[in-house]
Amino acid sequence: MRIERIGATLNPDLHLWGWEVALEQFLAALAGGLLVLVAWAHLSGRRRELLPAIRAATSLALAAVMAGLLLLWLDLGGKWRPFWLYLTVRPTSIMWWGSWIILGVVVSSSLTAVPSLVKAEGEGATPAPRWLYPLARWAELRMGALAWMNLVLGIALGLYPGVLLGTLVARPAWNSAVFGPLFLASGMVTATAALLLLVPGGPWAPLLVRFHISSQGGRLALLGLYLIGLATGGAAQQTAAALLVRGPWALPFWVVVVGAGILVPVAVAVRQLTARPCAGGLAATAWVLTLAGDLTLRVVLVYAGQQGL
Amino acid sequence: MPRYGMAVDLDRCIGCQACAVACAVENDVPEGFFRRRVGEVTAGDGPGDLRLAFVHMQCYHCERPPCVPVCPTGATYVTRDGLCLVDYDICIGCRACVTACPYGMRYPHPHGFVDKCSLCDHRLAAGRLPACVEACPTRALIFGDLDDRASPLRQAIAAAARVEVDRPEVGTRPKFFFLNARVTLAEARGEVGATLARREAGEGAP
Repeated sequence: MRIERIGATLNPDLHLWGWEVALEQFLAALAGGLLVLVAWAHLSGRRRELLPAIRAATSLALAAVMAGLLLLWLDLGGKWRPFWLYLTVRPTSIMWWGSWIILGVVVSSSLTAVPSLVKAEGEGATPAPRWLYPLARWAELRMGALAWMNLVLGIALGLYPGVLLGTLVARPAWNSAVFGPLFLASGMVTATAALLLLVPGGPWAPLLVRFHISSQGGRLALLGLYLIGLATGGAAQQTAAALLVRGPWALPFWVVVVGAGILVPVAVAVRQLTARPCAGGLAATAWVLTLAGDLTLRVVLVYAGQQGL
Repeated sequence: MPRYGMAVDLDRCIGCQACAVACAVENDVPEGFFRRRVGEVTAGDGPGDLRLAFVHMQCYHCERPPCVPVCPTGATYVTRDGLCLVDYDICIGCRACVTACPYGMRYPHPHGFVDKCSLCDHRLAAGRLPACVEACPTRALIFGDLDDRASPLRQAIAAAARVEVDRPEVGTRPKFFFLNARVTLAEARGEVGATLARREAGEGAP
């Protein structure tokens, strides 16, 4: 007979980051991916052709980043002290960089969205505060510079949550150099799916579907590399891999993240490029599954990473 | 400047938790939280093969603390005498430091900041010992200056048959030493992990 007793204080609950952080990471990835797409449309000279999709993307990016900011604030213990993030210089802290990236994204995506939201003064003008019109004109003239800003900040916003988790040596499931690129690829996947859902028709659809397939391919490859990295690591890394592959998180990981979030949407996306595309309802379901898969990936990684030491 | 550290002589520790209580009272630690705690692991295959380990858990005031570089506001810092402290006024409660600590020695205080052992820096400033050291009835807890050969800490480490630090593989160089352990920390953690896995699998435990 084996006799065991563990003091109740030895293994306290170490789940410190919960659903707010997982959802914020999902929204940050969505906003980052959308900004990269908007920047690409500007810089490739296809702005006029893709304008409805760009408008939807800029508005959604701004909404996503603001919602993410609200979640981050809700998650903070010291709700009235976040101004300290901007009054200190902490280049070794990824979270400090993240706070500046988010601030930059709020400014950049707001300036990009303003001309779309505020139509010209005069007949048919959008009702908006008077001071917004000169700001919209100012931003309209600087769309090229804003596109570069969106590209850099979008990539940074997509990368930073992954780099933040990846640099935490204490958490074997997170401590992976693949996390940054994986989160960025995931953001691109989410952004293309969200846009295909919001503005399904138009000349941008085949382009977005191609972006979607290549981003999904990148994400699948990076997920594979991440798991291989864990499986070939030390005992702690192998335990972390087991949590995802055959442990308590295996079902959501394989079924929702890989099956419903990657394989099904890729199959539908490939079919969309053929002469006989899927019906609109089926395609929309695939994009919804993509979003659900990405959100589940964030939840699984945030929770599994904090399971034990 | 001194380089403060601590040790526990496990040959002397009786697991009475007086240190944990003294710490909580001295530092006004809210109910349900701990700056210092003593975990207890009993394992074995029956009478004649029982092993008991006390795992002392508090901030180890590491030489290379991973909690310091991740702090986005500089609220977590290291003093010149090697104490790793938190400035509660600028801590925003993001818990990056809590997730970065490989030992789980920090906790989110209900007042919105992160708290942990300060080695009772306010008592040290007044020339007194940390509350846990003063409260220990068997003198199992030893405090001192690691750079001073005459300090009780250096002497205890030199005299110990076995000296161990927690998870040396993570490279944090803790300044808290486990002396004369009969069950190593790795073994104790292994027992905890195996038992929790069995419980999660539904096998149960007494």
